[in-house]
Amino acid sequence: MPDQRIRVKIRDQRGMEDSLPGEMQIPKDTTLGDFLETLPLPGGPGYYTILQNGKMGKRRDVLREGDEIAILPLSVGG
Amino acid sequence: METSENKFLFVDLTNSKTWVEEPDQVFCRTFLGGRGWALPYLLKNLKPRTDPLSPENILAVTTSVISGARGPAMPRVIVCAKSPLTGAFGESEAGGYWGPELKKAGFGAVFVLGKAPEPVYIWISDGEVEIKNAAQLWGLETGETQDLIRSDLGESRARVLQIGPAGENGVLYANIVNELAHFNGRNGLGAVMGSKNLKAIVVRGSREVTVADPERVKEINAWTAKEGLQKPLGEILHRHGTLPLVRGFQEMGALPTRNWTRGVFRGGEEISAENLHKTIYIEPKGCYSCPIRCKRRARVDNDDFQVDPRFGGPEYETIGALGSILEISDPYLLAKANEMCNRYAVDTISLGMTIGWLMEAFEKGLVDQDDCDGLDIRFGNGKVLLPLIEKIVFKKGLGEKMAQGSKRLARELGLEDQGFLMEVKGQEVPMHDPRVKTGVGLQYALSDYGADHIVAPHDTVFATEDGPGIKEASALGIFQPVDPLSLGPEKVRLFYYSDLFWSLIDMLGFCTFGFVPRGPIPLEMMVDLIKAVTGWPVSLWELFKAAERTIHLARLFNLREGFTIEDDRLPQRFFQDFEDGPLKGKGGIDQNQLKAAMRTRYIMMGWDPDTGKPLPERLYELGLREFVKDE
Repeated sequence: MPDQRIRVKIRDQRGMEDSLPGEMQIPKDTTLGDFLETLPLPGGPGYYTILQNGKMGKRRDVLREGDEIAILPLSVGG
Repeated sequence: METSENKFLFVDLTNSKTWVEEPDQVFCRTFLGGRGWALPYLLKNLKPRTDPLSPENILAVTTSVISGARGPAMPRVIVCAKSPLTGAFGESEAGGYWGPELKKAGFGAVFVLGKAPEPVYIWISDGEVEIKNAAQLWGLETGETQDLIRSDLGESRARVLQIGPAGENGVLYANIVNELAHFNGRNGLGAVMGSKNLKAIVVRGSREVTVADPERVKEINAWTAKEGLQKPLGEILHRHGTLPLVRGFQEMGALPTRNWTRGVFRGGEEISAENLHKTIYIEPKGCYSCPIRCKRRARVDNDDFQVDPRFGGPEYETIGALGSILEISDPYLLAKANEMCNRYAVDTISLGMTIGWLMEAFEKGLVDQDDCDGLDIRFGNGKVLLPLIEKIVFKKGLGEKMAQGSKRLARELGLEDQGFLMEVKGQEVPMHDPRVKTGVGLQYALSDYGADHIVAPHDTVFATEDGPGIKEASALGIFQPVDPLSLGPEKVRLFYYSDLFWSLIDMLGFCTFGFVPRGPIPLEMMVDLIKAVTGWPVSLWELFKAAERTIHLARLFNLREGFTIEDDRLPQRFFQDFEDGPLKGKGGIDQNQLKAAMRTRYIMMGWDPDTGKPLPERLYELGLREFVKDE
């Protein structure tokens, strides 16, 4: 049976003590939006700036093996 | 509710006279405070085209109808005058303790007229006013000045709002500081104070201000300290201040670097919040009655530098303007440069950006070492930073020209049209790139006091349905996310409303970090707070109308000073691509889209889209008939 899970890297740049793991395994075909909902982010993902492979992430995009998700404090928005 | 603390104190320095006027309740409720109190007086009493550094300029040091109450995030003092840097209406807000203290001393605002024949300071103590000799203070740095004034008065808790040597010497981006670390930073209003031979305004007030419902104010403060600080917006500000912006922008590829040519700085890690906390920062500090405590303080004691935490610490804007813009990454050097600027009371943004412009001119071979007093002014050369600050503040050598800001420096060197001047209306742009936040660009272009980053909340807080803009600030009437990169009518509408909101925050002396979408306190609670302090049954609609009045009055001020629609523009570089980083190839802002957006904005404002002038009908609607010309 083919492997139905992929690995994504997480770079938690919020500067908080309870940082997220550096890597996670998630089901294949998970969208960025669905993945973010599983993370324990106070306030929810909308309170952070999310970069997918260095670019502003789109919630509907499906994540791929090795994708890097960076989570930055909202203050990037000013 | 009638209160007695909104009295206006007038100080005529030419004739050593003081008097008090008490605005009626209709005026106070119509204009609320800050620029709302200053602009009607300036429009009526300041002649058009007045030299900003002449005795005829008027310096309005204001608070608001709510200042002094013990609520959260409402510490600010708002200073207004005609700006010597821009020639336009000038305004700058500072946190700290001075504004609330003025209210406790019995006044809502101080209007300073004329020019003293010799250096003076104004001493206000519980309703009593005295103009005191400041000859012994002239030339001193801010720390020494504050110590001497407190010692002279025998008042260790006197609050000192003052200028440093930069303001005395007429540096066009000199600032005004209270408590040594809270700055009315922009627009060069310190130079206006210096031109009046006014070293300081010192206040001591022992009365509590009148509050209609003190229990409700107390409840809101307690909520902020408990619930607010647990919200992500409150927690991040409390823990890190504004510094996470460094890493955020660096990751995104939009950290202003090398005079805005690049978006990624190789030394970015050294100036990240984490490294600055490891190297230079000590515990945070706050403002009057505010539990958020977002201010940073720096302490350094090594072989190269000593930095005194009394002068605060560099926050994001300073780290950008003196750091990544100049490609300088040594945190100790940056802490020292920040301390020097604060001791001399000069704006770090305009100073850094003026040096950045010169560095680019140097690297392009447009100026050489001989033009620069023998200094090797290239990007990354930290050795020139401290000497340049000295030259600028004391107007030595090239510093004489640099003290006029980047636009005048370029003009004097015959290099104005080289395409890398980063200013709007003569004021250097702060550290937020409108190529990734187009609404910020709209506000840079439209701002009545030149490029500024706190004219409106930024695009990204409204970018997603679950973000704080949409989720928590729905009282603004924005229910759908707006793409940070768009310049369509939805973006224009968003920034029209946001501009009203933050104008309101500014005029009331609130801090932008206190309230959603940028801080933790809900809008409804903000309205509640105003009701609780004033006793007036105000609505958000009424408050926004007050804010809108001031935007129109500032526009009228600038029009009579000769500003036109052509001055509502962005620097050329923002229409160009980044030279490197993840955003290379994205392109700059589309000029035609920006032009169309500006036109839409004028129409939304009720301004003639061809001239940018407010239409008489719009002024009637805002109750500003007395300011309509040629009726």
